[in-house]
Amino acid sequence: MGIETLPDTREETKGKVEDAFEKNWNVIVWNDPINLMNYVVFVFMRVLAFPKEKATRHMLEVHHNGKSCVATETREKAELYHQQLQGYGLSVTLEQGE
Amino acid sequence: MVVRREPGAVAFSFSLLERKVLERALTTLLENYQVNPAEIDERAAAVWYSSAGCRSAGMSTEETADWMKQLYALRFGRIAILRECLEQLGAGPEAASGMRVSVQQADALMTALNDHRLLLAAHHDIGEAEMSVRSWAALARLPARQQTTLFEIEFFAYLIDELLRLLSDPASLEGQS
Repeated sequence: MGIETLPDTREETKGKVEDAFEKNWNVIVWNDPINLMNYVVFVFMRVLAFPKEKATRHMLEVHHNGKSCVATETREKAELYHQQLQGYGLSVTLEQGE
Repeated sequence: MVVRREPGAVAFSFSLLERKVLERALTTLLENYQVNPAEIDERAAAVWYSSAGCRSAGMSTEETADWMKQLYALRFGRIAILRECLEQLGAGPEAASGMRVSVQQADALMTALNDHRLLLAAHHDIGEAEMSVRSWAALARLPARQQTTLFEIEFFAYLIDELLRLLSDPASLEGQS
């Protein structure tokens, strides 16, 4: 009978832990014709705790470029932002960065 | 419509027409906020419960279902304030009525009204072109149902604008409008 060895799960676990803490998830907000510009500024201030100037800058980026990356976070935090922003009616996706 | 800031609250006065439009919006929201994302109509699901972000994040079916449940709970959590608003509107005289919401409740009301704008647009095919209409002649070329919907969308935009203005203006803390 051949000798079987248990797979080394340490490397795999280490990888998962590193992934969980790595801030490489981009939160992308997309333009839409219905949400009001000042409402979007309000939502950025409320959810992302942006000062008004930063919130306005990102809102204008959404408006002119079609989208804006409003945060780069750990996956867990990015998912939370994603949910909160969508709860306010914004169109949001997540993208994994480098 | 008259909106004014009172200590710790925002107070509204509505004409009969405005009251009817708002009552219909609140009733629609109350109905739809209770419907599970899996059972809500397709157009509402597309604007309120889009799973595009879940797909882009590579979430599993189970993770997406769980995430949707939480999003549904966020909207369901606004039901109490919407019921309270509806009761206040119904309690006034027929010709006009008022409504008073606390500053804390104003956030939920405003977000719900924004949800209603999204829902109206989705149900009546209002997109970039229709929202860009800036003349009576261009408006008149749209189907009647879209014209009515645009007026309604603009009415709620005005209401949201007023709420944002009052909630962010430090001078209004003293109660002036």
